[in-house]
Amino acid sequence: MNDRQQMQAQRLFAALSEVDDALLSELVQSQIATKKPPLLLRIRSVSRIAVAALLFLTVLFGGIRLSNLIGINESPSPGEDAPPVLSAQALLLESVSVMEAVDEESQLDFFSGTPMLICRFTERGDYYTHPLSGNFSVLNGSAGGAMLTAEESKEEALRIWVCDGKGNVRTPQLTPASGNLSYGCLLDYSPELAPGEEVWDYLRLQLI
Amino acid sequence: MEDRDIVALFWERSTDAVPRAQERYGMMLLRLAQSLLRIREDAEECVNDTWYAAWNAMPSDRPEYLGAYLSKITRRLSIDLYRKNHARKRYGFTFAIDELAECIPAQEGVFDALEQHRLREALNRFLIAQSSERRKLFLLRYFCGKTVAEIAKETGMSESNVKTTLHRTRMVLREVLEKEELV
Repeated sequence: MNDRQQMQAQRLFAALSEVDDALLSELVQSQIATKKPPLLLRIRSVSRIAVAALLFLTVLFGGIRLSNLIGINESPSPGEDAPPVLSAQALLLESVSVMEAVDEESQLDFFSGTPMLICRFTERGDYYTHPLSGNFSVLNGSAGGAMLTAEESKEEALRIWVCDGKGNVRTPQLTPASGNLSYGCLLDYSPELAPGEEVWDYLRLQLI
Repeated sequence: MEDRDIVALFWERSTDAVPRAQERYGMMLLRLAQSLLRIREDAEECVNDTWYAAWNAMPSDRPEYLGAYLSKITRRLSIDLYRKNHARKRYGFTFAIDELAECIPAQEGVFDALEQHRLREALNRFLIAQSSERRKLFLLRYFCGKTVAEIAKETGMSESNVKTTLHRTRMVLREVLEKEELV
């Protein structure tokens, strides 16, 4: 492409910002519509999750049983000395069957009027949501959580957010501050806090 | 809340205008800016500037299709930010050229504006003449800046089908522009 062609292409690209609103409205409507994933995709997602959960539980209980058989007792059992993040991950992983799978952030409804928990397993990339009831203010901040080191923060495999149903989104993995609050979208972040037991107790009640 | 109600809030200078518009179109505009710029922080900056620009433009503008109107503002701001960021990365004399551009006679500007107007009209006619599907693909690619893979995922078409359709549509546009002597 020569300079003249490049300049004209830039002009053409810029001129598209001036086309009639009526021509764009059709596209805009399709972009703001919150679509549910097709049924087949939802079935696939659920079956993928079920297989993953089954594998996880098999490995977990198989490992515990094997370690008992061969007499290794040094490793802590989950829920005792394991870090809270691990038990949180296990809790949410076991609960995905009761949560709604959402493929993309754009499909999340932040203005449904219902407070909801949103979580994402970093490796998988898709989101899971669950409606919250009662007083969820415990999720609006650290709630006794410990500060994570930079290394622990990098290794974080789970991210969680809480949306109040009116567009406001917070995460208990960040300290409560105006910069850590987003509106109508998820704010990408590196966790700084391991949410405290109070948070997980509340979520256990919501998810089980 | 409907578009006309939100526009009315802008005209009344109500403090509810921006939050209501944000509620309805905020996410869509963020996705648009992110598709064009690919950097989240820049996209957020453009969307924030969009609310400011819309607040200043209404009144006197009274858009019938608020989503399209805001999309065009976000797109213009995204292109401006892209140019600004790229100009910064270029050489020192970029700024000298920008200053010298002010010395170019106004006649040139009028000519550009006329050409721009003709180009816009030609694009409108071209888009109207396309099928709904072709128009959507074309706008997703060249208005929203989405990749072929993203369009394929969004529309459920195969990537090769998207590429072929876009290629054919570009050829039609080329004919239109040549016929109107705009290239």
